[in-house]
Amino acid sequence: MKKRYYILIMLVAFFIVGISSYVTWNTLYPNYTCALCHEIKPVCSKWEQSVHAEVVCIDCHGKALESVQSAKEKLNMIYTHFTKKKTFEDIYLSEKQSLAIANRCAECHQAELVAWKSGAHSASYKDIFMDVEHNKMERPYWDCFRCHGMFYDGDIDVLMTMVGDVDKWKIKETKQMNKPTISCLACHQSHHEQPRNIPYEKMDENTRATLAEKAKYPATALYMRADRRHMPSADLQKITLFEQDSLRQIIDDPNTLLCMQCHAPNTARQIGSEDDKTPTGVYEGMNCITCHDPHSNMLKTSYRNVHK
Amino acid sequence: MKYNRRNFIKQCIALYGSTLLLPACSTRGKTQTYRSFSPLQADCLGAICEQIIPTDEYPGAIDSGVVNYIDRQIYIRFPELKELYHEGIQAVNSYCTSVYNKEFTALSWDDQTQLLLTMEKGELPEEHWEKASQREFFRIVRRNTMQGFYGAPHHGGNKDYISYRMMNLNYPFIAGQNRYGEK
Amino acid sequence: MGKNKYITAIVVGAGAGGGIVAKELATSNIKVTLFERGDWPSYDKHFNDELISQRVQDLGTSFGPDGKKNPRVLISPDGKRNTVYRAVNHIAACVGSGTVSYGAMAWRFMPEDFKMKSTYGAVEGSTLDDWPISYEDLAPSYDKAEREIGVAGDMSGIPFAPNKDNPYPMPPFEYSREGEFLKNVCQNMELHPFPVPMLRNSVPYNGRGACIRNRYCVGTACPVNAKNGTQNTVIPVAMQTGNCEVKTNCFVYKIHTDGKGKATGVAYFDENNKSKTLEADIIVLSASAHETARLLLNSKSVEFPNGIGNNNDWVGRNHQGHSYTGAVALFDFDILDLTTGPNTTLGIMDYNHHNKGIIGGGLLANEFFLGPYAFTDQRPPGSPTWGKEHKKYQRENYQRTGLLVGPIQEIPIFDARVTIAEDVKDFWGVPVAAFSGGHHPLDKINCQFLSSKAEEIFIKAGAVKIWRRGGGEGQQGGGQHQGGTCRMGNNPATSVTDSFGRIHDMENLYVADGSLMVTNGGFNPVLTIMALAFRVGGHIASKWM
Repeated sequence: MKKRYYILIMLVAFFIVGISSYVTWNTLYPNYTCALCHEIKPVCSKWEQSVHAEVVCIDCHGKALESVQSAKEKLNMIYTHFTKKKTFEDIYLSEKQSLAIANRCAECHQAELVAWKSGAHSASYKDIFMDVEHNKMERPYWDCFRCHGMFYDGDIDVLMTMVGDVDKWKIKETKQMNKPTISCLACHQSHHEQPRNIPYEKMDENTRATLAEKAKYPATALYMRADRRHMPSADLQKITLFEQDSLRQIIDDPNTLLCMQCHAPNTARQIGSEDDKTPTGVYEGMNCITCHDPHSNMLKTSYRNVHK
Repeated sequence: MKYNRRNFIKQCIALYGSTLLLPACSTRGKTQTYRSFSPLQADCLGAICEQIIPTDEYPGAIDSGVVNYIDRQIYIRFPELKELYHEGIQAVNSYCTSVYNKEFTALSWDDQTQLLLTMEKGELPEEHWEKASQREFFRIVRRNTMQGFYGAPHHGGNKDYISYRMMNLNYPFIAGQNRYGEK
Repeated sequence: MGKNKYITAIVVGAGAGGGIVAKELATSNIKVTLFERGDWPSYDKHFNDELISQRVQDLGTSFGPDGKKNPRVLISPDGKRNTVYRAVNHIAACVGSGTVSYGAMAWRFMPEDFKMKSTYGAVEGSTLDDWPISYEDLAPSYDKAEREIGVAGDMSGIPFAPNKDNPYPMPPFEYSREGEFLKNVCQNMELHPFPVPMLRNSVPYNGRGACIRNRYCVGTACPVNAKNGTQNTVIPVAMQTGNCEVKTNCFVYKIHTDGKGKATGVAYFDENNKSKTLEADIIVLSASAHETARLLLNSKSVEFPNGIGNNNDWVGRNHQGHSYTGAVALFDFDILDLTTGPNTTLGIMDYNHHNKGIIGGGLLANEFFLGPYAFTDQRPPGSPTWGKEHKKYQRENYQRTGLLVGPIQEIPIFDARVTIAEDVKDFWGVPVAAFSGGHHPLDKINCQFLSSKAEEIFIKAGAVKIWRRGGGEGQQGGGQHQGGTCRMGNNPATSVTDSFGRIHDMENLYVADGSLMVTNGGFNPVLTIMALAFRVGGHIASKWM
């Protein structure tokens, strides 16, 4: 009798404590929850300093008990953390996760979403990989994913069957066909953000001193599929280009360098070779986004953009 | 303790309360924690690695995450090396304490260099090296330091691709779409 | 055999040899099961990561096998046994095997390489011998390999090249900066430089595009599928016939025989590590010189108490593996240009044969780019190996360091051998391969000869500092160029297979890989392995169909 009583009390207490802890956990500031782990602390503190500081962890990562999917994902994280020999360096995003984050971005960045949708960078897997004219000339290979489908979870042979005539080559899974190949995270890194927008008069001396430095730092980064991580645009190495043997001038601008990673010349760095779109002639030395909208790639319609 | 209601509830509250105290842990020290090394061991190892790849115009072993690399490799690939590292670090410090009356990290840069040169040749007094071989220890630390600094960053070292930058390696590798082989 | 039944064949190992045999048989309407202990290669798992590549294996191998599951035993001259749980001396374990990750140099052997004993006479302490076939016998198979797998090169005007009048299907690769520079030096020395023939597409070929001149080529797979291996050429052809099934992650560990000179089938562990058997009319072993020998030696029966084909104790003997030697030179300008492909572009074969006092010799070629980690050991003798100086050297001289290297033709010895370590088992409980024996003393002398020649070229090139590489000593480990363990020959008493790779005394058991090579030439062996596989495969198809 007494035993049963204890068990009942225990169960009830467990539920009350469990639920109240869960609710408390979800409402607490990240420093007291997520950032407890040494591994994600640097990421959290970076986030706190960023323009996105008001977006809290669970806004993107979701609550553990939000859905079965979410619970499974979080439990799996804990399980992996304690049982498998994986470390911080092994964490990377699946395509599904990268698209979920893109959806979250779009909740606020509606204008960018619309621009992206109107431009070529929102091309789907079908547009890219089932282009018969292209495939006739060259069989798709792994390196396509370097720019198209950076987050794709498989190999080229997982994505498509390439048996028989070229016009019969196709993407195996129908639901993959309409997914975008280049989403927000291709050029933006979630935890490496522009500094928070603080009015100048409210800045401390230190922040003011480094202001010019930080302004140079763009909000973009390159997702390197091979490394499964981003490299901030400002860290990209400057490229030299040649026209025959003579060196051509290229602007030392992180965003232009970012564009050039995919709109790239051949390895001999010849201007205009392969996919290179470096401005030449009177436009030599110009920045890509001076004329192109970064999200739609369309030419900016107003001359004011250039001659302000 | 007697198993009764009062104690049971006390225990439950204590248990729950202690989880609320968890945030207190987070304030303990700002340095990175490691799986295979205590903070003191990591400091000593870092100082040895820094001798192997010192800071000059470019970051050295410590700033490029070499200790993190070694820690990670021991954790995921070479658990058998943990003992050698622990014994080696201990031997270095035991020698330093007996001769200089301080630990390796407190030695001057030149004294540290001299010590490692002697260790590389296997000429430190053997009494400190009963468990680990000093030459083997040096060989492994040197090799792992080079791997950490010059290997790919996803292994835990070479932070921000620092060695690739230093060697002007043009990383990531840029190549346009192969225009159907037209050259 | 019934009229309505297909002839069936098992090919063990989907590398340079096995892929080709499978294609030759499948296109002749033989039902082939191609066994591969690894998986299909994927670039994603093995991108340009220096510490896990086929050249630097400090943290593992990019294309397997897992060293912890596949130990080896090294037996030193004093009999000391050392079991290593790293993947040493494995070529690779995936469909395509080493042809996925190789540097892809495509050398033909010279006619002299097939007649070493007649050319140089018997050598004391060596099993040096002539091949049972001549260069002319193999030439049509070389042609096939060059066309079906795909080679880019140009040997016209090279007096020593046996194929100087027989153009390659693709034009050669352009010289890299180092290649161009050393080519001019060689020409001034009246040597005969040429662009190294490569199993890579210099232009679109065979339905795949051209090479993008990626500097991370050797040791990794090709991101644009322009490096030609069996996995993207002959194996897909074999599969498209509908006659070839590739069984990946299946490890063959024993060959069954009927006791009357016939192999009946193989025992293997499938992808779930379950032991299974499969029967076939023909069995071809292309598991590499180490694994083929191990498989034969592990297949004991009443008929063959010491392993199949081993009643004369020749299986596993004459183990060869190429000592790589040459010289390293430091220049006072950037001799390397990292944007011109993997760098190896210039070759000379003036030092293969007809050099006074040298038996054999070897080619010289400028070396593939070293990764930054491999370069940390590339220092002149006596320089600091760590510290500030070392770090400074690393950034200042990486692109100023040239390498001219080549494989020296080895003088085979009977005691360099692959045996079975009965007491050391792999993950599946199968006894592993053990290596013993070293080198013939001439190997060291030959290495000194070749490295002195490389040094001479660098002196003429005006290098500020030059140091030689040694080689030709120590334990024979085989490495990527492993060969010789199932020597082909006409005399069953002193060889393992006949001139078509059939194991003596066995009606239907063949070998088609580097094991067959009597001598290993002063050339990287892959094209010769491919040619041998075309020869063996073609022979089986014509004999059985």
